[in-house]
Amino acid sequence: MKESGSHRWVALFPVLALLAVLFGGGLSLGLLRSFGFQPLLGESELTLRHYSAVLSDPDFLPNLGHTLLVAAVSTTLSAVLGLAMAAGLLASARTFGALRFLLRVPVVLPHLVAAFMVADFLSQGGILARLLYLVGVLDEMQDFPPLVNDRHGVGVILVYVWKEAPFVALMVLGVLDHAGRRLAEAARTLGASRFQTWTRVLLPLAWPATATASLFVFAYDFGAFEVPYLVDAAHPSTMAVWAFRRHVDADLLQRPEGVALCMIIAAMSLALVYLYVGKTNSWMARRMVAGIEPRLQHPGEEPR
Amino acid sequence: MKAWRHQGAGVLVWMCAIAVVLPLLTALIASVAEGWAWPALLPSQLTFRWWASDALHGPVASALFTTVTVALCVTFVCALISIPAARALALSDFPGKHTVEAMLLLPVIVPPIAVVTGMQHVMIVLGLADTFFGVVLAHVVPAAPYMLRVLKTAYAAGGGRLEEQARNLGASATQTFLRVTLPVLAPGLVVGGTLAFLVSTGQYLLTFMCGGGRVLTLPLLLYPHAAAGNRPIAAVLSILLSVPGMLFILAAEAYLHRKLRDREVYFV
Repeated sequence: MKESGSHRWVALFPVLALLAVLFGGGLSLGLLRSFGFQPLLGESELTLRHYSAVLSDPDFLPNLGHTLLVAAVSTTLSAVLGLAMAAGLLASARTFGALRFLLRVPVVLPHLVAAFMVADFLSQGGILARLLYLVGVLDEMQDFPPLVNDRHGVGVILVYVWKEAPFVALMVLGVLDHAGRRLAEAARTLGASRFQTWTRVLLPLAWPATATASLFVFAYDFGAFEVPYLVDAAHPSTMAVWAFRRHVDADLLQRPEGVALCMIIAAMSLALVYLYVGKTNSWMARRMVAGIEPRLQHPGEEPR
Repeated sequence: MKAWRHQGAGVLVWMCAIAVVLPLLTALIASVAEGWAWPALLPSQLTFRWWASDALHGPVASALFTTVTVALCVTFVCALISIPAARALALSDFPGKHTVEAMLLLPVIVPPIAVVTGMQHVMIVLGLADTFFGVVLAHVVPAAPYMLRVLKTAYAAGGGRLEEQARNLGASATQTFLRVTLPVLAPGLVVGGTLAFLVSTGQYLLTFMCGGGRVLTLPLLLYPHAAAGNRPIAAVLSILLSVPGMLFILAAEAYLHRKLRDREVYFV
């Protein structure tokens, strides 16, 4: 249907205006404040001192390292486990309808709920420790390592993996289910070995979906607040929690530094996505966009 | 014929299933457990006092109500602003389209913590800080991109052609919208609505900062109990917070199965 140019912008106006005011406006105001622009406090001189204060903070590098490590480890584990889960579901002789539904549960639970449930399960008095005690691995409660609120973010990582490995599995299954079964059977009929079927047909098919899902998982874990706020140690903390604590600090002078941290987080997540999309070739980029599109199409129909 | 499959894969799948289920089961049991001390695997007694005492009265009941109403309003606002935008993006090409689409994805990529401090400021300027509607709009920011993408796909799958035919056959604009557009978009609205609902019910940070403690949702109540290790109450609140989203999904699945039978629909 032919649409006139102005119609289009009228149609786009509500969503663009809302996001421009709240998201764009929020980001711009944050940027201004991080440069020291505080009209209410009578400060209108732009300065870089909040950034230099944050960047020279002795906590900056440890916290950044901690954040990157937690995000990288949880993304890697989620991708490997998710891929294995999808492969397992596809390769097992029975179709696990109920199990597939089960995999959705962690994906859709609120992060705070997942954090509480997994942390409770993994705590020193939790069910995992009790199971290990009953089979004789532990002699007493204190023998179980304190995984939750530990310095290395083990608790945070495990919460993320519990929630995100099923997410990767479902994304991959979405692709493999559509085309994978038929292609795998065709490959076998044409004489491919079981190993070749996996390495030459199924894994190449699953790779773009895995990469897309991993990008989302990494970007989320890098900037996420709720899970580390609940189950991470006080030191070191992730960037998001650090920025939040600075911003709600009773000391008002800490606030602009918190906002500067927020801007650093925003810039880093943008750079991450930009680098990722830019580095991968155009074929991958197209596959990625196709992977993000929710699959409402009929099986076999090409994604638009 | 099926030799590329393997029986051993079942073991891995079952192990993963157990890892998924155990934390859920623990929380369910903890919400009705009395005297569940180390090292018992099961509580010695069952009780409903956690549900009866703190849980279903006063702040929790109203927080549950607020959580669901906010999420429903978020879903509605997302649909309202996304339907025309999705149409424009799906059915026409115009200069700047790719830029617009990239901008509309930003709220998914830039984490809430990065914008929430500035957003709170904007809310204060607009007089929306600490209000119900302010919280709704704050939640719309991360939720709308999902709704938009789903609806765009639904529109691209055939909405435009059918609308044109209806208009050519003499239907009015209102008739076309009610009789053609809405039915065509319905599955997309259900999927997008589910995503928007889930994004909203899970929010802690945006509600905390933009609601200023006046708009009390369940995540705000859950956090202090979970952080203090108040296990039974945190378990009750976790379950209460999960139930609306789960019900929403089950209803959506039932609807989509009826409507789309042989098609596969994924929420993620």
